[in-house]
Amino acid sequence: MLKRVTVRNWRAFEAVEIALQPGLNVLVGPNGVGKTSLLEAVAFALAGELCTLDDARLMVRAESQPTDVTVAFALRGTDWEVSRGLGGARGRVRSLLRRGDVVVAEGSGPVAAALEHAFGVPTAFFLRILYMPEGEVYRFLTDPPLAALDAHLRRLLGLEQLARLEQAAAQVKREIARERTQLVALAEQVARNAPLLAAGRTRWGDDPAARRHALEAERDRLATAQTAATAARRRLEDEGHRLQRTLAELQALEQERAALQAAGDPEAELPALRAHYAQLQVDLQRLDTTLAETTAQRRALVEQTRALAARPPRDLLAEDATARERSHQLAAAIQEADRLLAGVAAQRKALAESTQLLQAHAPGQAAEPVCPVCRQPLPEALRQRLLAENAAQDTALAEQETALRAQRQAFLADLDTLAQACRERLLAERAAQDRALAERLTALQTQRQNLAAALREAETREGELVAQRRRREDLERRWRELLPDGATREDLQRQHDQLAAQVAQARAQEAELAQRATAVQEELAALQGYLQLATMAGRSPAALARQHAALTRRELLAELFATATTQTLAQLRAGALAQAYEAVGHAWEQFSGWTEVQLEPQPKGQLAVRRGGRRFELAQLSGGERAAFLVLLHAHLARQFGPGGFLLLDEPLEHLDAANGRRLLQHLARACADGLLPQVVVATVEAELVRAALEPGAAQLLVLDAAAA
Amino acid sequence: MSDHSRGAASAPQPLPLFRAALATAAAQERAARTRRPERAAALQSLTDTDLARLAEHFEALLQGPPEIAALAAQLHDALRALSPEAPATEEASDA
Repeated sequence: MLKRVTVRNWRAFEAVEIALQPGLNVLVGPNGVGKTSLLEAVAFALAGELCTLDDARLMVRAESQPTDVTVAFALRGTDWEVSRGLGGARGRVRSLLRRGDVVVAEGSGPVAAALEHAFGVPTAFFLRILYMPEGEVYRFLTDPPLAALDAHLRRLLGLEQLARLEQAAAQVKREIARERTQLVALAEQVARNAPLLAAGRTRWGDDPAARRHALEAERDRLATAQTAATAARRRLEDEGHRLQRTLAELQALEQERAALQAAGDPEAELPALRAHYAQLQVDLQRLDTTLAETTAQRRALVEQTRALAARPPRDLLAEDATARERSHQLAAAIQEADRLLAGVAAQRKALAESTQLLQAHAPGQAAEPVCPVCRQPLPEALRQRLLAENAAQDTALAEQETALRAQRQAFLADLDTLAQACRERLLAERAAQDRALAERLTALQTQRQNLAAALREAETREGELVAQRRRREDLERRWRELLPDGATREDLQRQHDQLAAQVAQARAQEAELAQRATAVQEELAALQGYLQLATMAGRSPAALARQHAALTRRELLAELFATATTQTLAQLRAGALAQAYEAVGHAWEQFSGWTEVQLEPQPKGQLAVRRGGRRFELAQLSGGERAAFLVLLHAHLARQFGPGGFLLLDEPLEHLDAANGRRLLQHLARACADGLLPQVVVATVEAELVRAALEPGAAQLLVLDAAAA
Repeated sequence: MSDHSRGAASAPQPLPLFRAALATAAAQERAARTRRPERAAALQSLTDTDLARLAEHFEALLQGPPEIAALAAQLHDALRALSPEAPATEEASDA
């Protein structure tokens, strides 16, 4: 029976202590005031874990403060106190259990073991049976009734592991049955091989293992001999191949030597070839010189031609002997024409002056007309006649001047024609010279190419001759290498023939060894097969029987184990169910006012409530009635299996109307008063309902409010 | 409720039930006639000590791992320990 619950730094409480009395204790208060956390504190103290949360550290109010939960309880006349602490360096749970003033266990494991020993139930019993957490009613209502009840009982009674063990036992039975099948098959196989075993015994006698050892030794010896023989044969073959390659090379050298000798002696040809080569080089140098000179001539001719073409044609007349005399004549004629033109011009100038003077001495122009020459009086007639004569003379002179100018122009045209012809002739001469030079250059180039080709040919030939000479030297050196110390090809051929004979002999030896090894291997394989059969048979008549006997015994034990497990599970379940049906049915009579109530399971999973001759399925009951049913079930299990004598109910009135809630509280109070339930702790928000339902003194009312927290 | 009232009993313990069920099953097996001689021999060799050890294994397995395969492996080991092969005494003549 619980006596006192003390918490510090626990959820809503900084520090609080409540004293619990025998009988009905009711914690009332609004939501969040800490009713559930006080019930969780009891669970944490007794079971070491919370019922509704996985981590107890979630209940810590302030991380910086230590958290302690202590529950004092009485069990079979002895006072106990269990304390759990949270906090410290690693946040571990500190556990301590006292009996009276004596510490009987310290640490989570020892305290749990000591509590289980004291109460005689597993730790989970505290969480599953003695504490109905809030929401349990809802889970019960949402499952099919009978399945829910069965699952609920299995969970409450801790039958899950037993059910798993039942499955494991069935699995073991199946596996042993498979093992038996395999063993039977093995026995049949051994029986089929009996003739082979008899033949093996005849062949190898009573000590096949010794024969196997001998055969294995012979196999290893033969393998070693085969390896050695193969290595020796390969050495002989390698030597024979080497001699064969030498002989083939000697033959090839001989053929090549004959071909070189047929090609002539390079030593005789080389001096003449080198002299010819030197002469060709001299000729080529000369030709290159000539080629350079001719090229320079042509380049100079091109420059001259370009300069000639750029000069005025008349300047070229002096350079042409043919035209030079004619041009001089034309120049003299032009000079003469110029001189005559100058004379005519002078005469015309004098005439003009005379005419101007005569016109100046015209009547009325001067005081007195006089002869401009003799200064004698000039008669007008004479003046007129002189003027006329001047005019006629000037006309004649003008005509003469015109004729002279035409003649001069004709001379100039002849001179230009002559100069142009001279230019063309000179350019044609240069062009002819250039063509001649080009042809010469072409001829020289061709000659040079021929010389170069001849040089290359000579070089090639010299290379060939040098290579021939070197190849002859190499050939002779290789010949001496292949045949040292005066040996001959015939000697080598004899050695090769002897090696071929030795190889044939080694092959025959190898074949013989291989044949013997094959025979040994075959016998060994047969012997190993026989030994395997014998090993198998070693488990067959006697050993197989022993194995079979052990398997049969194991199978028997497995069957007994599985049967006993199944029966245990069935009995536990059926017993618990039957007890629950009986006790809860009677409690239901008292709670509901029904009479002759009998609970019975139905084949399809329903739970029936038989009232007199009428049957009601549990599913037909209202949610409130089923909630009350669950509370009654917990109360029965706590009374039946709870040695601690206490029951914690968190919000058991949910889903109940006021009348049923009142009746449930009164039912619990009466059960406590009758001693059926030594102590019940109820947490509820229904303060008015509690006060209305319970008479004074029927229960201890513990009112929690924010101030208490 | 008072008609059905009983004092607080201890929670149902599987081990006594298992022991009883095991003894019953063994007795039934012994009572039944079997034509299989090895089965008869196995039954004959079955002792109360064997059943007690089987019950001990049952109790240990109740506290064992939650996985069925692991439980089956442990049960196999326990059954093999309870069913050793007889030592070979005439092996050579068998071969």
